[in-house]
Amino acid sequence: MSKVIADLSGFTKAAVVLYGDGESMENISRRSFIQRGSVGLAAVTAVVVVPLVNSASKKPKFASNRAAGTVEGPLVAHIADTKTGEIHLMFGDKEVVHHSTELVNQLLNAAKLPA
Amino acid sequence: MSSHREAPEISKDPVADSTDLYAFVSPDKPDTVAIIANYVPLQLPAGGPNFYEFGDDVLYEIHISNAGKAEADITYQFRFNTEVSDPGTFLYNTGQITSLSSKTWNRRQFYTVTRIDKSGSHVLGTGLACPPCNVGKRSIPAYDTLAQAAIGSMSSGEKVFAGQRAEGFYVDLGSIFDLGDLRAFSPAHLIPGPASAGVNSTAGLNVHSIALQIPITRLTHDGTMPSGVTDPAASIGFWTSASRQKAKVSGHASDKGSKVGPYVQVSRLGNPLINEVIIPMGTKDSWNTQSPNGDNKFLSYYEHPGLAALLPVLYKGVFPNLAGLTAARADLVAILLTGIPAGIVPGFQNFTGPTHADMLRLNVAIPPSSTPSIFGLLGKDAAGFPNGRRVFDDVTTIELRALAGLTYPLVAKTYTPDAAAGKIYDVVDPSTTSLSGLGAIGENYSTTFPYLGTPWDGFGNPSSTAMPSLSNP
Repeated sequence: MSKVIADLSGFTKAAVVLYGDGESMENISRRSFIQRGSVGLAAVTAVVVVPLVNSASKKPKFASNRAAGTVEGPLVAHIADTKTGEIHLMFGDKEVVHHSTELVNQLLNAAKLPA
Repeated sequence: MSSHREAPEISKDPVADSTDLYAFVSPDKPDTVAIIANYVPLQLPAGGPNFYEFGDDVLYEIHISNAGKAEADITYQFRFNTEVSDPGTFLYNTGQITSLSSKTWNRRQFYTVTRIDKSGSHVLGTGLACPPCNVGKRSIPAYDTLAQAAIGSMSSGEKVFAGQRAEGFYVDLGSIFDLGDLRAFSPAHLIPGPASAGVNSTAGLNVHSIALQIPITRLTHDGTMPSGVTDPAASIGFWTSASRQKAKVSGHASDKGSKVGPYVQVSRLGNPLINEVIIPMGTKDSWNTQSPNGDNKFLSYYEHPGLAALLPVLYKGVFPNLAGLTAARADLVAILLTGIPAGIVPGFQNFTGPTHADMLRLNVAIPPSSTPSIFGLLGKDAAGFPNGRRVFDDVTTIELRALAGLTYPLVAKTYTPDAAAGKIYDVVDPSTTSLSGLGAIGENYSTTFPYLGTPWDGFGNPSSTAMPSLSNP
């Protein structure tokens, strides 16, 4: 259950918030996104949040209207325990807690770490 | 630094390490309270090439509780930013610094002070300048002029200052942390040695101070002067804290890294010496991150303090009554966690309510003393510690004597403290009770805001000691 104020159900909306620049997913490869990310992969408990493929579609689409407000600046995602699915998203001086074991697993896959 | 490097994590983060907190009715302006929160401990004056400064990435706060709930009813926040005029030189200053706007002063720090209270958040001042660190006479021929210029007067009535000052806390760190030795009492120690005078380990060192002088009516719950000493509204609690953003990603080369997330507390300080000697090693880091109104969970450390149990062991036969004192130390709980209620000490109270919380408690209706005793309430001076804390109060000796049982009769009339409890001291010979008798230590103070003296300069004080020696080759 997400504790965030904004609706983060669905990866596309989450990716829009995190992206911050409105680019469509079709134009971004996963590798280029990781390279342009402003935070780095440090350990299994702290990972970059990248926009990942929705399991229901090979071509996720971002909503043309992103969530209210534009996220500028770095974003850090912290997963203290990969088994819980709890993701702490930090930007500016804010923190949002999102729950998604599927997203955690996708991040682990992206980081080439064991699930 | 009554709380300097007192916990493992904060000892590695001096910029966020709260070292001392003072709160007292201003002796020269008794309708105001002076609050001084010190950070960045143990500064050698010769601190170049990068002299000491506040952290641009630290949120410094002074909290005030005036409603009896040990919560922050008023908070003053301080945020700093550093400007470098010429990043191409290695120098802190490229010529003499004769004013706060000298072009030759290369690395300057400015700050914003914000007050948060029940009416909201109010920026009281921004772009306020810190004075430079006291480099030496060539760089800064007239330091006090710069420091005076750095005192800001807010339209809301507060005075404010942030910058380097002389360290005011005096303590013999070398002996007390060498298995609890007190130099004058070394012959009685478990591992005896010759008696000698206490040594002030902080002599000649500097610290960074955030100082406020606030009208009392800006501190009380209803905005009025208390009716008298027994007025519950007269007792106000203070503590300081430092916070950092939750996530830091280190940079590399041109990537400066990131700091994001909400601010989390990494340091706090109310009464002196709590996290130093009351809270045990395994809990110190956690204690630093918590708000004082949850301090009931640490109650057992106050009721049965470890140092009180050690004194009879370290000084065999010197503290027989203390050795037999196994009851919970309700006196220490009152002094340090709730304030002393009315009726215990004639004419005195600084009770802020039943919530156990580490706060410095000041009864603002007690005027400054015309003949202060450095032993505060133990020296029959109600204007001193534990009624707030003045810059010259000998808090180490006061707390040592309290821990040794001197204050237990406040709650147990039949208890007789050991004779030694009233004799032990740390640095200053107890025959000296007055401010004028402090000698060289007294040079660290000023009679006017911000009440800590001119910081020691690097040229005149190039090392901690000119003649080091080894006591255990």
